[in-house]
Order: sequence, then C-alpha cells, then structure tokens
Amino acid sequence: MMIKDNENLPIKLAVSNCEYFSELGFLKMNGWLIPNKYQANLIFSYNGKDVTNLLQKTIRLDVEKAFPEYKERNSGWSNEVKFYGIDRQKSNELEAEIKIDGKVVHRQKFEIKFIQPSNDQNFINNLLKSNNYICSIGSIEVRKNYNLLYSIWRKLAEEKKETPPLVIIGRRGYLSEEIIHLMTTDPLTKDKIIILSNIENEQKNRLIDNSLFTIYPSFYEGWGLPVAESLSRGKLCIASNQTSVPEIAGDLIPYIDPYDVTSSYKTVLSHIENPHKVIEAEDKIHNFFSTTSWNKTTKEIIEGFEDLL
Amino acid sequence: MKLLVDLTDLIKWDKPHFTGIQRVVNNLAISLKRSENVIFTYYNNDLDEFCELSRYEPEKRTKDGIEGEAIDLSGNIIVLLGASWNTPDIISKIIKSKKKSQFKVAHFIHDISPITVPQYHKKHFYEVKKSWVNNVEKISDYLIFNSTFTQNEFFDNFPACKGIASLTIPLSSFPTKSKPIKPKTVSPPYVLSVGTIEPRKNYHTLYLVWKSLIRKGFNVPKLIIVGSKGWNDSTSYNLLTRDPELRNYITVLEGIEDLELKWLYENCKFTIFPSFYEGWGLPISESLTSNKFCICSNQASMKEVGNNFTDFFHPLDTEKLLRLINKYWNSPEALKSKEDLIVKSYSEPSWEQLAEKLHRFLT
Repeated sequence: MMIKDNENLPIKLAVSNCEYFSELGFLKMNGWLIPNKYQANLIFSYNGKDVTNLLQKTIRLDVEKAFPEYKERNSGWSNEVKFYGIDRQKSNELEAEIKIDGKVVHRQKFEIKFIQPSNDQNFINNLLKSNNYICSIGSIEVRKNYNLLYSIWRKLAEEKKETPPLVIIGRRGYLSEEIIHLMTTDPLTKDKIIILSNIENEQKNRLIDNSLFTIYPSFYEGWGLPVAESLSRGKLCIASNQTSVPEIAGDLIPYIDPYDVTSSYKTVLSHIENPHKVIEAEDKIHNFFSTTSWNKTTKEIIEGFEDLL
Repeated sequence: MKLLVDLTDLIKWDKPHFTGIQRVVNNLAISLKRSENVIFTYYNNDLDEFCELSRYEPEKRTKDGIEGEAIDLSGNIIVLLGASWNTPDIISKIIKSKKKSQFKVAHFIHDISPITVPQYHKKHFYEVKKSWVNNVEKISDYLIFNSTFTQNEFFDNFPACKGIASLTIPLSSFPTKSKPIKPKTVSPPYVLSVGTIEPRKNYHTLYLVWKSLIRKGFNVPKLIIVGSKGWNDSTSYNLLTRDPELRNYITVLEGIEDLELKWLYENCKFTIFPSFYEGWGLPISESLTSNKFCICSNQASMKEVGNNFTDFFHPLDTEKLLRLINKYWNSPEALKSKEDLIVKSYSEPSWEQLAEKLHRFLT
C-alpha cells in the first residue's frame, strides 16, 4: 500500500522558539510547518501587517520531533524567520497563515514570549565574586570588531589554555546577530563568552572593577570612551592602536593591531598568563592617568570659543 | 543487480550554479552513466516511488525524461550521492520499502559539520543532521566518504556505524578538457580565492590580511574572490565590497560559469583557501590540477588534499598568511619551485576512475 502525503492528517504549524531582542525590536523564530501538499505559502502577519511571505519547499526530518504522529510522512518544514519592528509597549499579535494554491488553509495565532538576554542578577553576582573574567564594553557591531575577540577566545580554547571568560557588555547593533551566532554556538567558545545587554551604569562600573582587565579592539573610533572609563577606574585596557584610541592612554597601556589576530592573541595571552604585567600596568595608570572630567571638557570648549571670539 | 543512482537533488536544484555537493554528484553521475547496470532514478513525490530518469543527461542538466516508469527496488542497490538530509521523504520511502523488499543502500557522506561545527550552520540544522545520521545508520549497507578526515570524524561521532562496509574516495576536480573562457573585466596578475561567502570559509581573515598589507605598505596583490553571498556573513561581504581602501584590490565575482572559473585558476598567480572546515576542499585540488600553488588552511580534511604541494597556515594566523602572501607574490623563484613540483608530481584521479572504483566497490 502506498502512503499518500498526510492523508487525513491536519495541517500544523509549531514555533519552537521565539527570541526577542529588545534593542532592535527584532524577533527570531524557529518552527515547523506541515502542509498537505509539497508547496505552501507561509505568511506571518504582525499586528495585522504582513511581515514575511515565504514559499517553503524544503522538507525536514526534525518535524518528527514537533509532531510525532507525522513520523515518516513526507512533509515538514523548519526555518528561522526574522522580523523587525516589535513594539514592547503594545500587546503584540503574531499570526501565521498557510496558503496552498492561493487559498488560506490554516490560521494560527501566537503569543510572543519576550526572552530578554539573560541578565540574571545571581549570575552577575557570581561573576563579580569570581574576579576572574575579562571585560569588553561597546555595542555589538562590525566596527567594534568583536570578531577579533571571538577569534582570540576560539584560539585560546583550541590551544587548551586555561582561560577566563570574556564578558561583553553592549547593545546589539548592526549585523550583531551574525557574530553572536558564532560566539554562542561554537562549541569552543559558547561557555567562554558571555553577552550582557541592558546593564545599568553602576553595574557596569562594578563589572569593570572586578575584572582582570578590559579589551577594546575597535577598528575605528572618534574617541573611544570605554578606554578612558576603564583607565579612570584604575583598570588596564588592552586597546586598538587605530584612529584616535592611542590619544586617550598614550604609553600607559599595551596596544593591539585590530587587523592582526596573531599578535593580538599573543598580547592577550601574555596578560592572562602573567598577572604581574597587569599589576605593573595598573600602577602606571594609577600614577600617570588623569581623567578628563566632563567639567574640564566643558571648560576647554568654552575657552576654545572665547579664543575664537 | 542494478545500481539505481538517485539524482533527485540535482533535479530539484533550482539555482543557476551548482555548489560543491551538486558538482560531485553531477561529475560522478556523468562517469557512472558509462558503466554497466547503472540506472538514474529520482523520487517521485506524487507516486511515492523511485522512477527511472530515462533521458536525463547530467552533462546538460536537462530536465527531460523525468516522467519515467516506477522502478522495483528489490535485488538492486540504491545509491544516494547527494545531500540526502534535504530530502527526508526519500529516506522515509527507503525505510518503508526495506520492510517489504530486499535491496541495498549506498550512502555518500560529504560531512557532518552541522554536528561538529554547528556555528557555521543555522541552529536547527544540528537536529536535522542528527536525525539524518540515525536514519543513515538504519538503512545503509555501504558508506562512501570523500576523505579520511570525514570517515574518521563520522565513525568517532557515530561508532555504531563502524560495521557498515565503507570506501573512501578522495575527489577529483575539473571534469573536462574543454577550453576555458576568460571572464569579462578580469586582468592578471591576481590571487584567487574560491568559495561561498559564509563564516565557515573564513573570508574575514582575508579581509584583515589585505587591510594589513595596505596599511603596512606592502606590494598589495589584487584578490579575486569567486563566490556568492551565502548565509550569515553580511559582515564579510560588506567589509570586502564596501571598504573604500580595498576598492582597487578586492573584487568579488558572483555567477561565474565553470569554464570561466577554469580560466581564473589557470591565469592566477596562486590561490588562497582559508576555510575553517571542509569535508574535502575542492578549490585546493582545482588549484593544483590547474598547476597553481595554493596557500591553504591546515584544518579538517585540507591537509589531505594539499599534501606536500601547498603551504599551510592556521586559519586565524593572520601574521603567517601575510608572510606567505608576501613571499609568493614577490618572489617568482619561490613560486616557480612550488609550481615545478606540482607539474612534476601532482596527480589526481579522474572522475571516471572514481566512478569505476565506486562501481567495483558496490558490485
């Protein structure tokens, strides 16, 4: 006897995870679709507006997990759907519609579960207590070059070095999902890189204070505030040697070339393996680094204008 | 006994160009066609049967002849050469049919990277590939691997499969001796890198190294990248195509024909292949068979392909890659001695020989 495609079995759609990133209003979902024909249109509407329209052809085995009764039937779909424009304040409505040959055959509503990036206070407290992590501050975007830090931590794991975790404090920005995917799914780095978003200023300062040192590998900065922040709290920052960054700290800190993974890796490793280097640098910072207070900045601006007038 | 070579994924392939796996399937199919007792088949969803692809010509990628008759599997071997994790309906059909009739299944294993290096794939792909392997274990009577690396990695991760008869066939590269065609807007000298722009192929390292070459005042080679924009790497794509400093040095070519690709290999100074992971690594053998030296990643299967004909670097070692590029771009002698070695000693099996080996193994 031949088994036809899902004869007598209803069309189903399941969403296995809905990740919501608050900064971008960006929702990512994974799901399974069972159409009773080989092709179906899957349309997501969000607050009544079409947000996706995907023609699904690929069929997937993992549908068995979502719908065991469909085991060994030839149907199923799984994919990630991303869309933007989520308003946290509103009660959002997400609806999916499955069309076959232009006709709506199935409709389903979803509750959006907002999964905030885990800022579990217990977790942060334990981190603070450990005093054994390295901090990097700045929004997660291509320009900030977190790819370099991912490469360094990957290499450290490959070389089986005892490595303190990297704690990234930053909002999710342009193309951040790409690097976050690499960091958080790579078996070599997923337990060694921690991403914290929505951190209050005070909390951020404590995270800097209790870290071993900070790193700032940016390709380009007009100023580079996190370097000054770290130094003003007496913490060493291993920083990019590009653009304006060296103006902030002069010869008080070691620099890395953000285009050179090999030498950056060596610099980071040598500061992990030789704590005395960090202490020496902190002494130098303590003795010679002077913070530019906002008062002083304002005064300089006013004086500058006065000179012009 | 007949070999039923399943070409469903070639027939379903709706993009204008093949990528690695489809090229392997296609090339093996062309060569297998000449052997005895080989029948091309595809899985017909409507009939829920394997049907004969009587008039299908893989050379031409014609889709004629896909309305063939249903084939009785019993007593035969069904050969799955392609990406069968994408066609679970075929696997389901085989599971069902094996309960009713006696036939054998040979499965080509290209890689299990979604399991071992999940960071280079969509998240759900891990589960897809895992359940695929479970089924491979259930239905396969023969396993064929593209490299010793793939074979070892597969058996290390799935030791229960060790009992299945297996064959490893290192792959061939260009199938034909046809005349290469020069693509428009390309002029030597240049360095070539081939592969989809996705994180696994590690174009990010090439970006960093080219920036360093420029910033450190070296004699900067022109780099031609042949690869379309793939999954999850808009980062590299943007950096390579939109950085004004690189405009005169890096060109990304998409939609290149096979014969144009051949021309690009034959007319480059050398190639670079910085990939993090490969089951085989076709661009390395393509380079060597074009008598061109390759600076090549030392990961996964790639040492098997490059052997003693290439120079290796760790894909994150920007310093070493920069040094090697400088060496071979600026020293014709160094490059010549590598090319001489390749011309003198490099050889690879033809697709015909591989098909013959496969045929012998199965019959």
